[in-house]
This record gives sequence, C-alpha cells and structure tokens, in this order.
Amino acid sequence: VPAEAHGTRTVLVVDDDAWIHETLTMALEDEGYQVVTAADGQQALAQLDRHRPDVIVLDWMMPTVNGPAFAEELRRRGFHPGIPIVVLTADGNARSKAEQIGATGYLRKPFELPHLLEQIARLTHD
Amino acid sequence: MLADRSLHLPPASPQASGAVQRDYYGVAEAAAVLGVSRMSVWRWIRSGRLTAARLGPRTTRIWREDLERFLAEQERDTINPLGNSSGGPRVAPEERLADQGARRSSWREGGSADHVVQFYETDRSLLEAVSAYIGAALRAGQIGIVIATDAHRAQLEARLRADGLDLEAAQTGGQYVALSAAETLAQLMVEGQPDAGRFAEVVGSLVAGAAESGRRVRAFGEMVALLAAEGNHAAALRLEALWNGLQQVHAFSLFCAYPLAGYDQASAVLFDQVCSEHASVIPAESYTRLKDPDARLREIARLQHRAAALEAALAQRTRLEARLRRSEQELRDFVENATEGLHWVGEDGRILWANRAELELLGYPAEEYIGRHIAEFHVDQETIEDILCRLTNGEELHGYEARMRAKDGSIKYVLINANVYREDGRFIHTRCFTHDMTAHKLAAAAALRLAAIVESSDDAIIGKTLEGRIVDWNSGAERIYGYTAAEVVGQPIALLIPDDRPDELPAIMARLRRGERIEHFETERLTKTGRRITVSVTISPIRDHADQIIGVSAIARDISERLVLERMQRDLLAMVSHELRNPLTAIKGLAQLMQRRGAYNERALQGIVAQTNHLDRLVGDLLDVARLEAGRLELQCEPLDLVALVAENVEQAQAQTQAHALRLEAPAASVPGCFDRDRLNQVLQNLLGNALKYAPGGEVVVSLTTDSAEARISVADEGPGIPPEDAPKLFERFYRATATADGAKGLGIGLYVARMLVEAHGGRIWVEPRPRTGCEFVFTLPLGTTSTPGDET
Repeated sequence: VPAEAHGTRTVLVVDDDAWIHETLTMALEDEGYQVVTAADGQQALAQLDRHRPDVIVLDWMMPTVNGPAFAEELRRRGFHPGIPIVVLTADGNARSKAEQIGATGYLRKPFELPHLLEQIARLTHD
Repeated sequence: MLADRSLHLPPASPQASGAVQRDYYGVAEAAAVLGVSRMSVWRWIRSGRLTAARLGPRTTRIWREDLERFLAEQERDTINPLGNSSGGPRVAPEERLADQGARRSSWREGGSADHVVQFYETDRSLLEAVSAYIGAALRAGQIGIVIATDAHRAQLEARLRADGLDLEAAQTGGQYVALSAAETLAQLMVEGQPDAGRFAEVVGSLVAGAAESGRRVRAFGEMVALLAAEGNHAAALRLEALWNGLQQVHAFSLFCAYPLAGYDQASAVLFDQVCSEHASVIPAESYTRLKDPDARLREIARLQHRAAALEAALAQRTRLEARLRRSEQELRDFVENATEGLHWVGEDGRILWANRAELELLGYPAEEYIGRHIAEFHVDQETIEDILCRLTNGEELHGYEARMRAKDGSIKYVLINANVYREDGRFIHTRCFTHDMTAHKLAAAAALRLAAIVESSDDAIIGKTLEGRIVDWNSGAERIYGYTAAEVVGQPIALLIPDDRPDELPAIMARLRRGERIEHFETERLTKTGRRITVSVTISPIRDHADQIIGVSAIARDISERLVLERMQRDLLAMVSHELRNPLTAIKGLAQLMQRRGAYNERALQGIVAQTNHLDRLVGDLLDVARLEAGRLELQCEPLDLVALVAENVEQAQAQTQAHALRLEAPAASVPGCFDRDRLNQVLQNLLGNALKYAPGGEVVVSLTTDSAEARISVADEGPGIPPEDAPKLFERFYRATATADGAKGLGIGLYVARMLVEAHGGRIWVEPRPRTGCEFVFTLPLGTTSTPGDET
C-alpha cells in the first residue's frame, strides 16, 4: 500500500456530508496526514482496494452501506480489528455504538476538532 | 174425620181388578179401602159403628153392604175438604166401595181429635176445602176456629155467607172464632220460635174454651204455613208439635194447610216432617180431583214416574251444576290469576274489570284502576285513541305496541291483543290482553345499543365458538381483515393466522377454556389479500347465565400503522439529530480549523455560511410542518407568471449540478395566475432537489402545460425510480424512500410539505407511474378565470 511505504499516515474519512469531508481533510492535512474520503460504506470499501488507512473515521448513519454494515464488512475482509476505527454519531448513544462494532474511539457530532485530532494522533503513533 | 164423596170402593181383593165385585172384605182390606189403619177399623168394629162377622179367632169379615152403610153414615158426618162441589152428582156408596182401590190416604174422620194436613195448589181449592170443613161444623152446630191469613179469612167468610151461614150469629154464639194468622203467630213467637207457654195461653185457652162447651171443635190453622213460607222450618215443626200436644189435652179436629208451591227440593225434609206430624195427609187437588180410581192409579204411577224422572234429572242437574261450578271456578281462577294482564274496557273507555296480573303490572289497587278511563294509564294519547277507535270499528288488535304508565311513574312497554265482546252487535266490553314486554324491550334496546357500539368500533370485534369458529364479525373486523361477515361467519378463525404461527391458536384456546383472559396480545394476522398486519388482541371467554364458557370474544386493533408511526418517530429523532448536527459539525469544525490556523480562510467561511443556510432551511421545513399541522399556514398570493417562476427554479437547480442536464418544456410563453411565490418556489425546489439527489445524473425534464382549468407541472428524472408500493406513502409525513442510489438525506418532510402547499393552492400532487426507469412528480394548480392559457401556445 503506497501511503505506508512513504511513512505517511493515512486516514480514511467515511461520512455522507461533503462539508465534513472538506473540514476534516483540511484539518488532517494540516497535521501531515494523507486523507482519503468516502460518502458511504460502499465507496469506502472501494477506497480500501487502493489505500491502506491507519485509522478510519466512520460516520454511523449513512445511506446504502451504513457504519455498522461497513464495520462488519471490514471484519469479514480481515481489516478489522486490525485498523482502528473512530465512530462519529449524531445521537447520544455513541459509546454503545462504538462498543457494538469494537471501535477504538468515538465522538459525538458536533465534536471538538482538537479531540478528534488528538485521538487520531494517538492511534497513528502507537 | 173427613169423607170424600167422590170415593169409590174398589174390589175387595187387591189382585182383582175393578171388574170383579166382592161380597166381603177382611179387616186389612177394609182398612186399605178406607185409608185408615187396621186399628181404626178394629176400633169401629168394637164400638159397633162398623158391623163385622167374626168367623173364627183369625177370620173377620165385613160384608160389602155393611161397609157401604158405614160409608154412607160417615158421609153424613164427614166433610171432604177437597171434595167436589156440593152441587155435583152424588155417587152411590156401592160405586164408591167398588172403586176405592186407588185410595191410599183419606181424610175420613178417624176421631174428633184428627190432625189433618191439606196441601193445595190454588187458593180456590183451599177455600173450597176449608169452607166445606168449617161450614159443615157450623151447620152441625159444632164450633169452628179459623186462624188464617187475612186474605184467606175474608174469602172464606164470603164463601160461608154465600152458602147461607149466618156468621155474625155464629160468632156471637161463640160457634165461629176467626183470628189473624200473622197476629196470632206474633203473639206466640219468642226469639224466632213458638213459645209453649204463649201457645197454651193464646191457642190452648181458645181451644179449651171451645171444647168445654161439649160441642165438637174443628180448627183450621195457617200459622205453620206462614212459618214454612218464611223458611223457618224448625219453628213450623215446633208449632205443629204444640198443636199435637194440645190435641192430647183437648179433643178437636185440626186442619192445617200448606201451599204446595211453598216446597222445593231443599224443603223435602220439612215436607216429610210435616206429613209425619199429621195423622192424615191430603194430597193437593190435582190428585183428589180425580174421581176414577183407575185414573188415580194412573196419576200415582205418572207422579211416581215423574218423581223418579225429576230425581234423576235433579241428580243430573246437581252433577252438571257441580261441574259447571267447577268449570266456572277454574275459568275464574284462570283469568284472575293468569300471569298475563287481562282487562275489559267499556265502550266509553272506562275499565270495567282487570285481573291481578294487570293490576300488578301497573302497581294499582283495583279500586284505583277499575272505573277509570283507560287513557289515563297510557303514555301516548294518540296510541290509546287509535286502539279504542280500531276496536270500536270492529278491528282485532294483534301485538299492538303501547306504553303504559305504572303508579310509580315508570313506563311499561306492552303488547296489546284485543277485540270486542258484542251482544246483538252492541259493544259490551273489550277483551284485552296486556303483555308486559318492558324487560324484553329494555334488553332489546340495550342489545341494540351494544350492537351499535360494537358495529361502530374501529376495532375488529369477533365472536367465536370454543372450537374457534367465527360467529360474529363487526364492520371493524371487515375493515381490518378485508373479509365481509358473510364470507367468514362459520369459518375457522385459523383463516386469519399466518402459517408460521401454528401453535398460537391452540395455546390461546386452551387458556380461554381455563377461563383466562388474554390482554393486549401483540401478534400478526393475515388479511384477505394475504397481507400481514400487526394486531393487538384482547381475548376473553364469553359466559352464559350459568357461568359456563360458551364462546370467545376477540377484540383486535390493527397496530401496524401505530408501529410504523412509532418507528417513523424514532427514525425522525435520529434523522433530526443527524440532519441538524451534520451542518453544525461542519460549521464547528471549520471554525475550529480557522482557530487552529489562526488565519482567515475563505473556503471555511463559505462552508460555514452554506451550512448555516442549510440549517435555516431545515428549521423552516420543520416549522412549516408544525404550522401545516396546526392549520396555520396562510398563502400570500399575488399575480405571477408560472412560466417565469418555473424557469427561474430550473436555472437555479442547474447551477448546483454538473452531473445533470435540466430542460424546461413550456409550450406557453406565459401562464398567469395568482399564487404564493415563495411557497411555489419551495415546492419546485423540493421536487428539483429530489431529482438531483436521487438520480445520480442524466436529464431532468421539467414541463409546464395547461388546459382550460389548470396548469400541470411535472419533474421527471432518470434515476432509479420509486417502487410502486412506496408511491402512495411518498407524501406522508416523515416518509423517506428506502432504496435510492445516492442515499436518503433530509427529514423526510419535503414531499409532505409540498403536498400541503399544493393542496393549499387547490391543486393535487402525485407520482406518475413509470414503467422502466426514473420517476415523474406531477402537480397541478388551478388557474383563475381571467387566465387564457391555451391561446398563448
């Protein structure tokens, strides 16, 4: 997988909101990450064919293939629990949802940008 | 001692008929001929008045001529109270002797102290007998005492005078004494009985005085007849006994008379007792008038036959009367104590009679009901007027419904069956049966109410047998399950149960048979079309009066919609959280990004503004829904051109996308109308937004056509289209299409709001079915009368 070969950490952002993609892309790129985005689980799986992310930021509620379905597919393909996942949810049950799919971290929307960056930093530098 | 001049001696031997003449008679035969006892005959023989030949110690013969002579002698000294008139032809003693066979009783004088009773049929006969009896006494220089009714006394005296007797002289000489029977009796009576002391005082002294004169005394008395006529039989017999006692003291002849008419069946005993109180009994004139012994025998035979026949008839009549009495009693009991109310009403409407059940039904005592007008007891005056009118006109009433008011004010529902009893066509009284059906009526009304409640229920209410067969099926059941009552009554309830729930019904029925009730049991059922619905069922056993479980009632509510709604509300909350928090996340993230960079960033600010606008629209949509549902949406209509308005929206939509090609087809240059510009923009933005959102690309065609009444605007895309089963639900609140290519985003209220806005304008909105691909939303708007759409194409 090319990104890792250059020592650059790659983050896959899976969210159906274009402005969230753009915000996270700008913020993560500022921190030196390579950012790959997908609007839903299906697109994310397609990205996995090309990229090997170090962390996946996963929105829970998405059309077509949603967060849990995508996590299940990851597990099926052997990527999970190998790749840590940070779950983003809009409702209050973020923690239980994270546990449900064995995610490493979770954040409730609208989250604090520094918190997200801290979590990703921790996960990529371990 | 009385002699009958009409007497005829019969043949001496009873065996011999009148054809054989006998020369002599035995004592018994002579006694029979004379109608006296053998002792009387012996007395006369011993006294020498009757000559007899003693032929041996046991044989005494009375020669015929001696008997005739005796008869002739007696005749001179004898009065026959009922004999023929003195002017009648005299019959030779021989003849009498020859014809005497029929005589069984005689008034021949047996002695001066004879006590004779005379029965009579007519006063005339009585007066003839008494005048002869007393007249003979007076003529013979004897004393006559008469204690008779005033009327009889007056007539008797008139006769005696007519016979040439000087009554005044006789009275003066003490030979004739006449007293009023009533007055004399009054002197004798003490506490309803003749008093012995008073009798001795009043009658005894009179007779004693007469007897002391040495002359023979004859008395005629009617006091006993008066007592008998009063029905005071005991007193009559007592008085007879007193007379008999007096005869023991004084020798006098007493002649009593009773009218035969005074006796009836009940006084047969009295009759016998009266006869036994007298030495001689003289039958009434219908017998004694007969001269011919044969005729007398025939009369006796006839009377015996008649008596026997009368006895038999009487016995029969007694039996019949008893039967009749019993029958009448039974009938009376039947009508009086029947459980059905019965009454009679006269032609004037007044109640003539009512039985117990009728009185009990209305709670009135008889005296407060009978005699009153029947209308007073009816609730509906026109009803009772109609009833009386129909009855008067000869109609019969069968099951005529009426309402009567009981004494306690309660209303009794009755069925009246009635007709009229008439005599010679004249209205006598009604025959009215009053059947109380209050309980039935109230029960029926309650049943009707219950049935109406059951029928009007939105819930399915189903009655089943314990075996699970459907017996009742309300319209709620029809709506929920799709079967009509006619289709399912008699069918097993298993019809409604999905195949994958085979154990459910047996388990339910087992619990019901144990008397358990199953409440709010949520399960699935099949409708007639095979659709699965979720129902909440409450199932209870139905018990009869004896608390036996005889069936099952099931009340089912279709909760499919409720479940859908609940799910939709859950989804909505998640959706609202998601849809509102996503823009907030972007805004917050972009702001914090700028903070981290410590520098102005144009792109971040663009995002913040765009997401703020997006949030504003979402809030607006939610507020619109709230307003629409509260009915507080007001259109701000203004004249505008629909073509221009649609064109603007198409341009704006095109600006947002490169993936789609938008095309407007509007044959008319302009379509003027009066609409709310902002609201129509909202509708168009929604439809165009959906087209861009759900179709990944391709052409989006917007067309605007008109006819005389309305404008028709459609938006067609080349997206995946909408499954037909989802089409009707699209315009419902919070509905979101499930399978879409680019994901469902939004609150699921856009089309709902669009529908409400179109309908507020008076138009309609729908999805046009598309056979292959894409979808086409269409809405119409009514055009004002001033518009001329067709002309401008």
